[in-house]
Amino acid sequence: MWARFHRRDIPVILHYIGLLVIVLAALELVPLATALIFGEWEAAVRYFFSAGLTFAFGMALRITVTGDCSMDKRQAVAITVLIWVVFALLGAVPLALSGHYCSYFDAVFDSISSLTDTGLSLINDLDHMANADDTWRFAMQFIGGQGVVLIALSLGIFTKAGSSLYSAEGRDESIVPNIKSTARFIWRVSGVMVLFGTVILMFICLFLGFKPLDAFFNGLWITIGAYDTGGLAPHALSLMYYHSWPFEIVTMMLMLFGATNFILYAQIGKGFWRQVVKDIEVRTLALWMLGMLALFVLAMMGGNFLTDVSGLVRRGVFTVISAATSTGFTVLSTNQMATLMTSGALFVIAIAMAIGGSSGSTVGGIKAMRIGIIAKSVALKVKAFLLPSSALVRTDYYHINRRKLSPELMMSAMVVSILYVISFVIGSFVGIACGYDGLASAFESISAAANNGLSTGITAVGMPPVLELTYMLQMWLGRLEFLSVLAIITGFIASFKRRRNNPLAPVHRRRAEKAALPQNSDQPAGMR
Amino acid sequence: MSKHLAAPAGALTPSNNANVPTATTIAALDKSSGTLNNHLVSFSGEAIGDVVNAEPGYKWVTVADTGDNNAISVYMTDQEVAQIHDFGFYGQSGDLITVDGIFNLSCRQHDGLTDVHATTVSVSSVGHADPAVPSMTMLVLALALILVAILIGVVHHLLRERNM
Repeated sequence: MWARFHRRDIPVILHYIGLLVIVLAALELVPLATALIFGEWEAAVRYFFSAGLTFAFGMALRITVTGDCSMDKRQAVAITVLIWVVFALLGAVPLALSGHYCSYFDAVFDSISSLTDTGLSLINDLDHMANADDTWRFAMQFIGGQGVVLIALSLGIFTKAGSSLYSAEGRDESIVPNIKSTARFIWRVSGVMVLFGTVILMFICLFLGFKPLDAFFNGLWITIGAYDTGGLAPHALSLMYYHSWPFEIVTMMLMLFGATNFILYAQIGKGFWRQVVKDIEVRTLALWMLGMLALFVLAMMGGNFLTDVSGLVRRGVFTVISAATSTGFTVLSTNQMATLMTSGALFVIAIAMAIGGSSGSTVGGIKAMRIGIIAKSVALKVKAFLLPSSALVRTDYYHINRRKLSPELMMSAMVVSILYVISFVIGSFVGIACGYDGLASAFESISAAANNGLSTGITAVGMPPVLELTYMLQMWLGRLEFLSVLAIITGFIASFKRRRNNPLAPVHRRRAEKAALPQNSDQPAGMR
Repeated sequence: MSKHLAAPAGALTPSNNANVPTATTIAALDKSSGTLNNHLVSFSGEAIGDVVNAEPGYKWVTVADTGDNNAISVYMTDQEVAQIHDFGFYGQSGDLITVDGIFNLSCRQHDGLTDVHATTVSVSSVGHADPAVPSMTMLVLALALILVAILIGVVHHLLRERNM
């Protein structure tokens, strides 16, 4: 039986979307304040207009319910899935009006890319963009990285269906028993990380000769881009703009912190270091990154690019970490990626992007946890293969505590991983159909669906609209890990389909009641 | 990027004389597959962003094609940097400079960075303020929208009161 939506669900869904849209309007005051600080009056008016538009739209949606209303799980998931689209459409308005995009469609692409922490961009003349616009792009990255719902949970907007919303955004673990406290814990950790990152990077920028205000904003933006694993940069040269290895090392550290499960911070906070080291996710991620790094070095040895140790360590390690944490910052030019890098190295980076970091963090991709569970499942099947069929074979794993590897968990890990792979393949085929190179198409498709943002140059102004739309869908589906979006789509389709054998459906209920009424005729009710 | 990998779109054939720079563009250097690597090139572009400290006596300046994202890092001496007055950012066009220098697709001195080591830098035109004008229509619309939102809020409140 498919979950269905009824007409009465629509006002509830719109009402809560309206509430979140009002929160978005309030967040647009951040770039507005930045514009006022820098004296960017044109941008200030633009953000004032956008905030007004968003506020009016939110209020209009909110009025759909005038009494008390609570939401159930279906409605909560629908809100979570749809809010990302609504935020992207509204968040694109000030960007489209900035004159840095060829069309509103391109601005929506950047808006989705920012919200989903991907980092692919179709912007024109980035280095002349207003500081307010950069602030907005990074604010959207921060909102998306933390999760739209997390904001609402923290503000107490959602309470009853909080856990449904939380899991619909691709997070499935509560750090502390109370979901609201979990949200607050994540904010606390993120706040501390952003503060430390900003201060350190700001001092490096000052040392590099930046003006104090520029140093602060560059430090803040890169910290958000790294910690939220978004990878958007305020300059066209990305991290190459700064020409500083200490800056790159701090950024790498922030990317690794961002790719770490929030739950591990709680464990570390309690002093449970041994448990952290034993954790299946930590072990898988460490092994995976080391493996990818070794493969990348081997693949690079076959070419003439980055043959010296210092170049390989500085640019190679950074690129692998940026890929494996699904961040997308780059210290290589698009041209170097496309022409100098061996196809083997490009393939390794693509695979590193596909997996990503930890679940329960800000990263995209299949995630190390699922890979660890799949590896354990394979080991379990191999173990059982030669044993008698009556033998009871079990295995367990350590994640916060010792847990049994259940068939449901194995299936869940497999299903989500397969959905990612299907998405990678579809995106690659669309790229190939648009006339791009096969490996470059696969690379870009993985980058979009795994919310990474590294590019071989396909994502550029003037790219085919069908491919642009494909990447937008991949970014959205990948961020929400497919299942919630697919559940909502099937739910809506099922709602329009004719209902058969559904005793709960009003039409069947009416017929059943009619049939149960005492009849004057001798003929059985079902025969008439 | 062009639709195929390894497409040296726009790259010019390097000059045979090592002392004569090959005239090129930043877009061509951005797409160069190696034909201009380690050659003396000459190009023009807008000086943008911040001047970044490098080794003592040297600085990094980002030079970009006007109006798009093609940009390249140019390594130059403090004296060369001193000639540049304005650097481009929001509301400000930077000096248009002409750079002669060695193009490195993967610079050995700078750990594989794509850069140009300038030999001569000259300012061809001085930068100027390019302020974006605020839209009064947008301001009026914004105020109207906020009024509409407040009005909806009042109606919503009244409807809630009635339903209670």
